[in-house]
Amino acid sequence: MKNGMIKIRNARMKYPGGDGLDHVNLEVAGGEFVYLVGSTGAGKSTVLKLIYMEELPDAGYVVVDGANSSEISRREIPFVRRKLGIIFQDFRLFEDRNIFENVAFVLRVTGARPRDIKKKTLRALAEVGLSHKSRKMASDLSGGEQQRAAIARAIVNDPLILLADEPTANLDPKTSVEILNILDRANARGTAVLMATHNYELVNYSSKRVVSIKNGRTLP
Amino acid sequence: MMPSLLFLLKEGFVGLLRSRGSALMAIVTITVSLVLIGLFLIVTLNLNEFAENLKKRLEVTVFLDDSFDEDKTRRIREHILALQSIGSVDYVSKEMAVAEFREHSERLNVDYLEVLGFNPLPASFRLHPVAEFLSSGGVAEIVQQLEAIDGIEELDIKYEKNLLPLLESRLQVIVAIDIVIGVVLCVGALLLVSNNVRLIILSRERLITTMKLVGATPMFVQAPMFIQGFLQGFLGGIAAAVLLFLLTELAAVELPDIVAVGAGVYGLVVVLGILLGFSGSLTAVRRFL
Ligand SMILES: Nc1ncnc2c1ncn2[C@@H]1O[C@H](COP(=O)(O)OP(=O)(O)OP(=O)(O)O)[C@@H](O)[C@H]1O
Ligand SMILES: [Mg+2]
Repeated sequence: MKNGMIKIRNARMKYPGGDGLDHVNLEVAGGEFVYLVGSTGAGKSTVLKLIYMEELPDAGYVVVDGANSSEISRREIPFVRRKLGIIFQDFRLFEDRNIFENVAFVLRVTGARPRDIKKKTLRALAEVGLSHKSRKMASDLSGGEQQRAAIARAIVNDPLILLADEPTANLDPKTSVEILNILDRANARGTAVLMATHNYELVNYSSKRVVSIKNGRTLP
Repeated sequence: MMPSLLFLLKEGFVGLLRSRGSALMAIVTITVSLVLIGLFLIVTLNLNEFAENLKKRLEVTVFLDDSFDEDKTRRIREHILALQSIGSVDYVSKEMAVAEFREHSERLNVDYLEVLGFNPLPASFRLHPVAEFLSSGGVAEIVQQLEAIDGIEELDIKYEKNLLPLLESRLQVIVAIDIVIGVVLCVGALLLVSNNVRLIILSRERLITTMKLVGATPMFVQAPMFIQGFLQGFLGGIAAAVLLFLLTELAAVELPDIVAVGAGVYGLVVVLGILLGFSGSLTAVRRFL
């Protein structure tokens, strides 16, 4: 296992309103599965934003597969993001295209060959059980289906790290288990997974490593 | 890179179709501006052609002293012909000058020359400058060259002194008006295209942010906007060229003398359209993306 695939050290990041992160330390090794748990507003999504570098820390630093937030240039950030698969809390599906194109987009930005794009996209859609809905627009899907489309887009390029922000929120228990199984399978293929959740119950019954966050501070 | 290029082209086309209302408005603006610019250009070209024809009629006359013998006249002619600035030289003898005078004063009842009893009209050379010297500066140079020739004095040289400066100053005014109108129309069209692309960007802000979050480079999200600007300009340019063609065909029926507009004008209109569309989207992308 490669150590320090993700490394956050003494990171601080404040939004203009004054909320945000005070002191965050977090490390995820290659291939590891880690839960980031905390109640609503604790700062879980913000930690993930630091990792995909939508926000940069005001103090401390973030390293993602060797790319350090304190040294990185804007031009390099897209290439760091291509190593990640991100399941956004609000899905962020592209409303202007169908599910197939939503998933395929991640491959298109890399300039992949059309044949490979088709193959990988169909595989990812099959993995989340959405093959039959690939021609539907995002807005025509149920919440659970949108969640799965978001996951398909995150795993389609076999990312080094999967960042999952509350992927089981608002889902019935059966669907939640299905989703967790999809993440487990991605993890079994070698992808490191960092999953943010406020579901303490889930975390307590799991044997996986857990990092807690409270009021913008990770607990040691 | 090739597959991405195809994808980006498709994104550009689809984006344009999605915003066809405002895109159509931008295209119409470009078309109208370019048609107006094209019309001014055609009128200017016609005026210029007319002026060129007038200039070609300019003759510089060199009067020869009655005392010059045949030999001296021949030597002066050779000197003149040796000048690069002179295309051709006609000799007008005293007799021919009289004949011309008679022709011009036919309507007069009195024949002054008969009354006078001798021929006061001098022989002369009529010089036709080459095209490059048909400007006020060029003619001044010719006069200098002529004065240097033995046997020609300043007073022997005559030409229509006002013609060239007048034509030149009028043409300058017309070209200046063309430029001002062209610039105003171009800026207007540019602002409209830019605004159209800005609206597309704003309506897709969240989408564009997501694209970047999943690994798209800025160029990747900008390229479709450039393609849209390019297409708007290209379509506007083509429409303007077609309209201009129809308008000149129509005008040719009424004004058979109108100068046929070369393909160059149509090409220029299309290129100008593309430039407008492209720079319109460039300014919007620079400011809003
Ligand atoms: N864009 C923003 N601008 C200003 N403040 C923000 C912004 N995003 C989040 N915050 C604030 O930062 C704090 C942490 O937010 P964050 O979204 O990271 O919490 P979270 O742990 O993901 O919560 P949830 O479980 O509800 O998703 C909250 O107080 C929130 O109000
Ligand atoms: Mg959150």
